[in-house]
Amino acid sequence: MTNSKVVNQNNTQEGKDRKVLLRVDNLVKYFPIKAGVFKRTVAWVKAVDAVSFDVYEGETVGLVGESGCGKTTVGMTLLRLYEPTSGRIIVNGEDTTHYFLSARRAKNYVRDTYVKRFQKSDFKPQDDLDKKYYDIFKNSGENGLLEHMVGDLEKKRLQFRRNIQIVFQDPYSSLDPRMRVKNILAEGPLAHKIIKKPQSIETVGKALEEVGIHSGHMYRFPHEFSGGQRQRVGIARALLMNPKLIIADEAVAALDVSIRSQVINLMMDLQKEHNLTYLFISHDLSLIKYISSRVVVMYLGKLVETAPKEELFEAPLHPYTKSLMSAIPVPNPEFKKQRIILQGDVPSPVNPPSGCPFHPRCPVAQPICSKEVPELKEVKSDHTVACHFPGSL
Amino acid sequence: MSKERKMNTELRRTMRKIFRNPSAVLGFALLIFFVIVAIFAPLIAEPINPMMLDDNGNPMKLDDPYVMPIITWSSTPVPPSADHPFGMIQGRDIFYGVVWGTRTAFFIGLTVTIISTLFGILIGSISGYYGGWIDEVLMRITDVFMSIPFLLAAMVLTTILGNGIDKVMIAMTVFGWMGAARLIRANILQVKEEQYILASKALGVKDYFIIMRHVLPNTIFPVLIQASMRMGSLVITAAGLSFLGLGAPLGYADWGSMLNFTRNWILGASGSTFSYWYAVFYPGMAMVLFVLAWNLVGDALRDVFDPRLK
Amino acid sequence: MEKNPLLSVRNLRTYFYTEDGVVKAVDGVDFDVYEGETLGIVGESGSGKSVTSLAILRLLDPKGKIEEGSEIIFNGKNLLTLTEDEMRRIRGNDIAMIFQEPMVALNPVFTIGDQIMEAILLHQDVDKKKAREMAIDMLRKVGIPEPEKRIDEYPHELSGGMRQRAMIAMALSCRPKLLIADEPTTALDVTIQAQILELMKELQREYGMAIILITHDVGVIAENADRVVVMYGGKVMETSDVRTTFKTPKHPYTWGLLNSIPRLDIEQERLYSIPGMVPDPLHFPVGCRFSNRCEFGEEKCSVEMPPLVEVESAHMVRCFFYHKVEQAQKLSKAGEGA
Repeated sequence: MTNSKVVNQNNTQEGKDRKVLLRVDNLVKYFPIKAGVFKRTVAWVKAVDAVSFDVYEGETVGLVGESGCGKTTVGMTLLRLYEPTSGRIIVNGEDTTHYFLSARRAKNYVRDTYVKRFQKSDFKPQDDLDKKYYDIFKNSGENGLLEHMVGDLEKKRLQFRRNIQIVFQDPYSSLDPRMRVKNILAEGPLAHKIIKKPQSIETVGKALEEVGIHSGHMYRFPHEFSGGQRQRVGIARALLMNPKLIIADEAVAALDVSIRSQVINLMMDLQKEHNLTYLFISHDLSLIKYISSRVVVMYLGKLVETAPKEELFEAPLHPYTKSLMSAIPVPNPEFKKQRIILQGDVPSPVNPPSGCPFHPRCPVAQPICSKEVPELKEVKSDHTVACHFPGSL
Repeated sequence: MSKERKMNTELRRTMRKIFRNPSAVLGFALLIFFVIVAIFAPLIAEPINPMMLDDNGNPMKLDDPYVMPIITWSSTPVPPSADHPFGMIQGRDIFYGVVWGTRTAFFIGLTVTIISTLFGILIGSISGYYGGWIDEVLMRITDVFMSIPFLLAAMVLTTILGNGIDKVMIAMTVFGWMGAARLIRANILQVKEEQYILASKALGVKDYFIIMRHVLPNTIFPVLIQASMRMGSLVITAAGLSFLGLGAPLGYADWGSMLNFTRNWILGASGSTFSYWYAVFYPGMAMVLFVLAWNLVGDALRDVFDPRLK
Repeated sequence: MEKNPLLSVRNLRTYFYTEDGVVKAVDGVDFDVYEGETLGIVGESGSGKSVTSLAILRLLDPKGKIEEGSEIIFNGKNLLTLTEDEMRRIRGNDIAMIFQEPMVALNPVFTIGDQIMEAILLHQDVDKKKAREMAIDMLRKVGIPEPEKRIDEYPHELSGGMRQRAMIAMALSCRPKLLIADEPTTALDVTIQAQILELMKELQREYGMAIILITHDVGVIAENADRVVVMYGGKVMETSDVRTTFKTPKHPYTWGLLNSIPRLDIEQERLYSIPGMVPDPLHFPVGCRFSNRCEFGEEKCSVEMPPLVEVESAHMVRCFFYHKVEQAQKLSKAGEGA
């Protein structure tokens, strides 16, 4: 909790002119492993372990890592398709962590996270959010704060769903095979009463044209489209909610190489037109380099490095980031790069190594690395890294 | 307007798809034939007893048309003739039995299939949707039912309940829902993880609509297709039980019981081994064609209702 | 001095006869593989690259047929004229293959050791004890730690990377002259991919075998192949040594592909997009297979299939208007410089 706070505060001071759209604060998601007749929990998969980062309005943050690093879980938890184990998810300056809990548990969350601290005599606000909620607390008491944060939860949930949307990886499983594209696309807007039924043909048609599909195709079934077109439909579905943030989880990984750039370019065009913010989750560092303005690197559930794109690709500080970069094949036989071949496999997130999770594979690990978990430190402005010996590789 | 037209072309395309496939056409033709026979059974084989006359001197109406009247006292089977085109066995007209047996077959098949499938869907969807310990308990119960050999269970149950078509149907229902339950549970578990379900959740669509619009349409068809294929096999099972003497009472218009009559007449006297062929052939053929019809229809439905298989 | 190729594929045509029509998956493919080199075959789904590799080993499913007039000459013998028995002796012994998903290629009910030993016993005249020693040796060579222990494990007990190593061990246990690797690292993480590719390079140096490396990833080809064959729509579109093709691509498809992928080595303002869709092998366009997506094409292209011609020494291109690509390449290079 402590180290990330420091980072976040610095970021806020740094980016006074930029608005934080999404703040992920110490997000933790553990999955239970159950066994036996009575399904007792025997162990935990530490899929996401204390991850914090900010996403500013209008930018593209690339979240990169290998399979099992927890990047997809981060996306799913942010969308609240999984409930976080702990941590806070702050959207547009409001804590939304409790939005999908029952009213009783949501109230408990607010009491535990804010009210109890505010009631202490020596309380000092730690960030902007604290300040905002403390003002409400001072002016209208505990009930006022509860009303502000928990009141009309159903409306808050719908608002949240409108704000954050997702584009999935698999164009073959992300569209219901039994529904016509028109109904798939109209589902969200109708559920939110953004449009009425008679309008849906017009609305859907416009959305389809915008992603480069002939509006006359809205009566087709998903299987009548190619992979690239289905991914466009998936983008249109997200777009129709008029979201502020789109989480793209490996959105082009399943597509043929010659189709990928079409979809990437489309997404970048839409970003400009609609002033969208993207959280782009991918394993492909070259894609991340092309599309994002800032990069978050994860390894085994932990955040290892985050920096603006130029900074990260010019001077990566974490040995893992550097190894990952050297492992990406470059389609240029004359390009000389440092060859670092990591040994061994990614360890299991059930039993992560002690200390730094990367130390068993790290070429420059020292004795301390297996003992102490390195803290996330801001080494340069806006460039944070969790390593005892940053830049040593 | 244009939407309706689209729907119609879709329907027409579906029909074309069905009728392009010769085996599907055969299946539907057979099924329609059986339905017609069942509906018009009183016209095709009049339910009268020519051996007994009423006060006006006309052949008497049967009290229960499903009990085949005894119309000859010949103890050996009588070969087909103009009056009795399928021949006679045990004093009864085989043609009459085959025609009215069609009704019995539909009655057994539809009742057992519908009840056991509905029950299976209920159990399976509760299990699959809620998961956890409910799932665990229901699935273990299912396992118990599956682990009991069906014939044995049916025999025990009919000894307790007594013989009769209804008892056989109860036995087949009680021990016949597990397939549907398992199938729908497996489908729900799979569909629950599909990204389009997640996408709908992320859109903020309510659970009820997600189940009705996405989960059920994507899970129910395989179950219905399986049910239609089971229709045929259920009739065979019922016939098997009748053959063992557990099912329909003596002389009931049921293909299985009619085959039961032939037990002693499967082979003729030496020198004319197949002289009683008609006793086995007509009821047996009716049964084979009935099963074939349902299987072909099931196949055709699967091809059509699964857009994923093109 | 002309070297003799180890493998020559000539006019290979592999058609699949399906209910919907004839799928011309591979339609007249020619290439050579020389001893000790790595030939990269790159292409997207439906390009025919995987079917080509299966055809070489004659492992196609029954619907696929290698058409009359195709030749696959390995070590002077036409593999297509061999009996099934003779072919079996070639598979595994002279030509081995590794696949994208080792879990599919390895039998889950036998231990890793059983499967490697089976390959050794089948092709070499040794007893079981010796075969086991050789298998352990092989596992050590492919970098599996504690091979004495791992040899008795089942495929599912190994990680994806280790499984791929075990499959390489199995493929190489009989010292094949040619290894066909079909998307060997596509299912793996990049850091594991780097390990496996490095391993393949080391083993190639040691054994001197030739490798056909089939992948959709042009980066993997650039870093690991000596020569490259670019396939599209069942045809070879361009082939040369790796440097030439990547530096001066002459086919519009190759050019488009290289400009449409995000790259670590250069700054890119906006990615080029090849328009249209990957063609359906049932309905290839008339004329050049790429004609409906090509921005350099003219009327002629949608009428006539261009021949594969040698435009420079050992650089073959199937395009009427390759000089237009040369100019576009010069322009974009100039743009980069400025």
